[in-house]
Amino acid sequence: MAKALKSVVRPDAAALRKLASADPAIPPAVMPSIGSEVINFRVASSVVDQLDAAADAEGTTRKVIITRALEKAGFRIPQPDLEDRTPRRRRPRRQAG
Amino acid sequence: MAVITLASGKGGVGKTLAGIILGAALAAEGVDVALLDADPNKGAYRWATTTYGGTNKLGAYAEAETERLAELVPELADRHAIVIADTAGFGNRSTVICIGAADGVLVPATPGEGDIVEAERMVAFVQATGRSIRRDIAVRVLGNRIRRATTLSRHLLSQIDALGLPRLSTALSEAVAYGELGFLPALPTTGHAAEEIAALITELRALEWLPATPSDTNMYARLT
Repeated sequence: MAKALKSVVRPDAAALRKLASADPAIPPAVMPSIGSEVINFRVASSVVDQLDAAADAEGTTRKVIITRALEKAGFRIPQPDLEDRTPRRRRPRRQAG
Repeated sequence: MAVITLASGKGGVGKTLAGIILGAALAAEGVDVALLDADPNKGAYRWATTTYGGTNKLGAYAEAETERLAELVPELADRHAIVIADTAGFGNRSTVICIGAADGVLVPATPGEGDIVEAERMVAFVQATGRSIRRDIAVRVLGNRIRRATTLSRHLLSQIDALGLPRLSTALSEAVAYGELGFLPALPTTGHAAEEIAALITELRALEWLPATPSDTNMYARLT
């Protein structure tokens, strides 16, 4: 059995997050924001064209393209915001061939 | 490079006071200090940013959100010579983070049955946390609002000793100067409070929780 040698290295952020959530009975000091909000902003049409092209190529939405880029930039994005939640009946039909 | 955390699952025991004292005393010596307030009430942060009038060696930070705090503590430990982390007076994940990242944890306790129970619980929690991440996290109880002439204060200290809890021989008294500190830009320089603050710094130095001198960087290397 391996000896439990003590570490002199300070835990990194991932280890501290893991430590903090080890006991689910311990609550956060501040409750995370819940619910959702609508944001609406104006950008150049060329940006929208690029978003649409990327979204169409994957069969997803502009929102998913944006939230995925935000996550890549270091923002913490809840999983539901990274998924295309458009009701199936409202999704555009993919053209055959 | 060294992190000292003030922790207790009970409010009103003197965590913020001790954090302010340590932060301001070290900054006055020229040590590069981060005073990190992980308490959502932000008492230490408010003092450091609106009342404190000392050197710019005291950097003030406030973050109680678990995810962001987990990122911030190691970052501050890399950037500053000493991080003093004040925590909220109830069991919460931000306190766990500040304890897990600490080299030393001070557990303030005032004369009262509840404080003794909480001090015992917190010392055990710090030791268990250290074991779980295989780090030596030093812990000491810090007596606060102690009037040594009273039976009650003597009883608190004797109970802490009887429980085998490690404690500092220095304690903070009921000096009015501590209450005034919340409204003043600097630590007292004369009187009982000034002597106690000096004794606290001296004892923490002897324990090697603090640098022997502001420029003793080897001490930080030993700690981390």
